[in-house]
Amino acid sequence: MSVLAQRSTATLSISEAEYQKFCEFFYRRTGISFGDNKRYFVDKRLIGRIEKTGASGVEDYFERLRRRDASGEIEALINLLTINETYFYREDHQLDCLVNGILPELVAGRRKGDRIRIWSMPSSTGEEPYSIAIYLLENWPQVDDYDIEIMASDIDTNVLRAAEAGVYDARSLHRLSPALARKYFVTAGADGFRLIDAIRRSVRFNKVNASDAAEMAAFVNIDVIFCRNMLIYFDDRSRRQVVESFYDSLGDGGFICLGHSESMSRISSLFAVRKFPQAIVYQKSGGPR
Amino acid sequence: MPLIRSAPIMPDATTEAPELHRDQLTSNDVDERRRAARALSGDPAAASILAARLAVEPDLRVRDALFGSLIDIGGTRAAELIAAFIRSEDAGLRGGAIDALKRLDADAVVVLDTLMNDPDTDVRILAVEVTRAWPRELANPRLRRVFETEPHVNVCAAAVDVATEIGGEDLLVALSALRARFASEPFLVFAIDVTCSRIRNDDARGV
Amino acid sequence: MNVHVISPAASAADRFAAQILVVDDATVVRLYYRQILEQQGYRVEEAINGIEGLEKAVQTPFDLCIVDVNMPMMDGYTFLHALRREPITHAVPALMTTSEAGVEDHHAALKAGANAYLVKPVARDQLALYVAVLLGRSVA
Repeated sequence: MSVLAQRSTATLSISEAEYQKFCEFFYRRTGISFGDNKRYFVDKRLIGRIEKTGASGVEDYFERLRRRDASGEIEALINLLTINETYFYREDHQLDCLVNGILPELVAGRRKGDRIRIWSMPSSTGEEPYSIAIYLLENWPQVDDYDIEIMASDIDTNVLRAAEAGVYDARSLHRLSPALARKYFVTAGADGFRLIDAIRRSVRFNKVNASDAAEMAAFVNIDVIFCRNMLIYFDDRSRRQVVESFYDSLGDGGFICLGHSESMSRISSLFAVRKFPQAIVYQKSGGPR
Repeated sequence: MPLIRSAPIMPDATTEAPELHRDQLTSNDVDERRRAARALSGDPAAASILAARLAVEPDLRVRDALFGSLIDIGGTRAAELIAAFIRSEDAGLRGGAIDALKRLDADAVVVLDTLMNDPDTDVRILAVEVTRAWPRELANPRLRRVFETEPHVNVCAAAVDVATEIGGEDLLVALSALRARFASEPFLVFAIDVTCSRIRNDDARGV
Repeated sequence: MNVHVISPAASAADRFAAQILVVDDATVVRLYYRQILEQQGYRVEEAINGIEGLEKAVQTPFDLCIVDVNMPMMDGYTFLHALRREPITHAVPALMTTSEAGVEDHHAALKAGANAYLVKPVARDQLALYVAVLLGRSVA
């Protein structure tokens, strides 16, 4: 434990009651629970933020978190407490849900050749939208029957550029079988793997700021949105507005998938909860409920 | 994951005449009603119309949009209009009103103080919940008043739950008295004990 | 109230298998019910509003849901309607709680799909009794 200069010999520690209180607050705010076995993990990061923000202690830090002008503090904390990494076929149970649950429902009323619009936002360095493309090719028998459009958006032009280049390291591919890796990648440099052109061309990348309703309004009649591990970083107000934009972008009966530790229960009641064997997703249900 | 959030930019809501939006509030199409409700978010004069529609709107998504626009309009008038729904027979409208009042911050203080003195127990219970969104300096004096003067156990319980999250040591004396007052109510005694242990432990550490 | 219900399968071991979902937005209420129910040997999971409750209910085979009326995002009645519509959760017993005490509310709860209805604050033995009955346990 580190010693704070202004506290002379006192070292900062989190009491049992403080831990409980923090967990209750965090659960209420985000829906994420920490068990007692996460004590060390949480304490360490909480103390880190208390020191970084110059709060005088847990109490003071806590009050800061509650303020509406918390200026990204709760987001910084969430960032520390959740694990974020991106790689191919991450949370592939959702891709399974796409192929075996969502798409069959969506195409039930469609003709061959009709368009299906899938939107990955944020797309980050591209693993997610490219995973969708590969997974569909590998697992959906009807993939050639429809005109599938995969759009991918992010606010960061650096990651968009990297995504378009389509070069990844072994860590990004760790969930892919060697057969899949061989089929869709060629080696690039010492330890790089470049996605084959056919896949790279199948995704269209755009720079989009999720908080800009006008930019978001350009996306219409979307069938499926993958928005994983983005909303969790937004404050209440921005989050609601982004979700409203998504709602407006979806066509009737369209679906949205969030990250595994995320839930609409802390964001909005606009969507219906849909349970598939592979995953829980949310649907813009047509007509009155 | 680098993600820069800029201030939310609302689409230009004034491209169509406001009267058109108001008419579309009664459209047969849910999405049309929803869009109309959101389009009126920049129009303070539309506040009473939005509230009037809320009273009869059956669809949850449109209600969401109506509350959203009232919140965007803000101000004490919007707070009053929203507060009226705390008395609704419809649990969803009551909940929506509480949520909305929380987001109005200081604009809701005056109307909340009135509601916390309402003769209806259920109104007082719901009103107390709004203080959870307030800074401690604003919330705690009101919670203390509830502990000291509120006769109904469920209103006290609601205030105790809020205090579990935001209560300060200035509430301990009142909580102790409340515990004595309701000694025969095991749930409230339990709740107060939880709250006090949260509050006391923070302060016992000292600085 | 005199209730005598015996389920043929009920035994001490069964009791430890029962999973109960508590849906209430007040922290102290959830803590209170948890304490009572765990003492009885049940396993407890929590949700803070109807949406979270629904998400948990469709993922885990709960033996009983205890749900409050007034919650943000999705109230208790809406939760119950959704619970009854969803094939997976259609028949899960549900106990509705509320601060309100009118007869109309009691009827509304039953119409929405609740199996029973309790007015808060709920006493310990009252909760234990209702839970046992709704789970088909012997209460002799």
